Amino acid sequence: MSRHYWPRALLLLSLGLFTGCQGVEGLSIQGVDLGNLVSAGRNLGNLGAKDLDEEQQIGQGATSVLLEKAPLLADQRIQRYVNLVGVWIALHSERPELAWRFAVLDSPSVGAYAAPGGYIVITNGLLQRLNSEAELAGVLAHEIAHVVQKHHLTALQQQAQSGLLSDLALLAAQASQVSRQGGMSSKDTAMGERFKQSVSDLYSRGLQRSDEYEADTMGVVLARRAGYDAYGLASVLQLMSSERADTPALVSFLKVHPNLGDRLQALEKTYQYLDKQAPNSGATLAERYQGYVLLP
Amino acid sequence: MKVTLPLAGLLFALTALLSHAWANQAAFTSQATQLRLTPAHQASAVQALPANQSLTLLKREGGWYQVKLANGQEGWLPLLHVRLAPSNNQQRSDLGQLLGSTSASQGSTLSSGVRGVNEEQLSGPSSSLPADLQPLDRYRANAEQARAFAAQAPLRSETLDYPR
Repeated sequence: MSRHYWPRALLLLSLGLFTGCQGVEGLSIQGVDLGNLVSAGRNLGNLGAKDLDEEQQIGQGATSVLLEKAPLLADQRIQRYVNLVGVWIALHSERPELAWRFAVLDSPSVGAYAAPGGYIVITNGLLQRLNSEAELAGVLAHEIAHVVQKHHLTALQQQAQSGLLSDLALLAAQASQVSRQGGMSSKDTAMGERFKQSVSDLYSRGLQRSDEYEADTMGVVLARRAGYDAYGLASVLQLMSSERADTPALVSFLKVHPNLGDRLQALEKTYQYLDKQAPNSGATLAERYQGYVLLP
Repeated sequence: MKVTLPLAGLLFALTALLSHAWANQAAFTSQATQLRLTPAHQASAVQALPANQSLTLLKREGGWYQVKLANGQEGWLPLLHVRLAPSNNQQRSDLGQLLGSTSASQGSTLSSGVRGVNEEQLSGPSSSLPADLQPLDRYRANAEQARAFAAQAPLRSETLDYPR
């Protein structure tokens, strides 16, 4: 029943590379305040167990919504590979203790999404465009940064407040049950659907631009901490900006991502910093990537 | 999807190509910049280039591309000062579509019945997932496994702060 609820346009949304970024009109912030990044990890220490449970609940609800877009890729080797790479990077983040889970969707669209609590989803369409593990690391690290900074959690909570949805975690649980089974009261069903709508709105509208720039900067540093060539993410952004705008898998991506060039430019300071702090180039691992992802 | 022999051959050939995906790629400068003799900012400048200067990429080394100008002049440019020229990339897109059509698996497994909100709230972050997310647990990696996989590469951790 929940599937009928989705407007067809939403099913077709590829949501865009890197968590349905941007698309917020009127926001013209082109730079990111790097000073904020330094204090970024400090707010995380006082996270109570209850808050963590709620974040998990909301993240699970949001991930359920993402998994309705396409089936999981039926390739255990690739799924496992992406999890091994992803967890390795996450171990270098400020939230290594989360139960990180990575999933590859069987969709030709280009997209990667983060959900609260440590859930990261990437499409096979994006995987097939990448050339190396360092590029994959750049994408995953960007998504991991969103989770570390709780960008989606904060955005969902703000949406919930404006819509008077007081208990977001409870709504997420209702949504999860709506997906799993029928036979719920119409009130519970309606609550679950409101949560799903809220999640869907967020992923199709995208985060604030400043969140995306912050995730770019942090992601590049995270990938380098994990030993990868830091230029993986820049490589992916360059690759995407060179593709034909009418490539079907990219149409919606390019629609919500008009400023790949701006993102590359914004990364310049970060790369200058890294060139100084970690002058040795990290690992690219093109062959390992191709062995897992492109060869059957 | 069963991969037939000809397709496997095609994949091998494409893989060989992909390892140098940007070699001989047409590109242009995104801003005025200096073409340098070696891949380093302190290397001597070969030539000042304006924005939108057409060039061909030869190879990449860290944050630098070795490039060739139309007049044959070669040198190195910062990766971030280069944009790839719009390309058809149709072959790769087709490959993406082709491999993307792997037979669909049903994402959800059997429902294990009603799981109350309280039970889920009590459970810690690493305990069992709602039914529709349970397939994710099959592929999950723990820290030890991830470390072992990284060591095979080998990947070496660096201690780095975020930039101020």
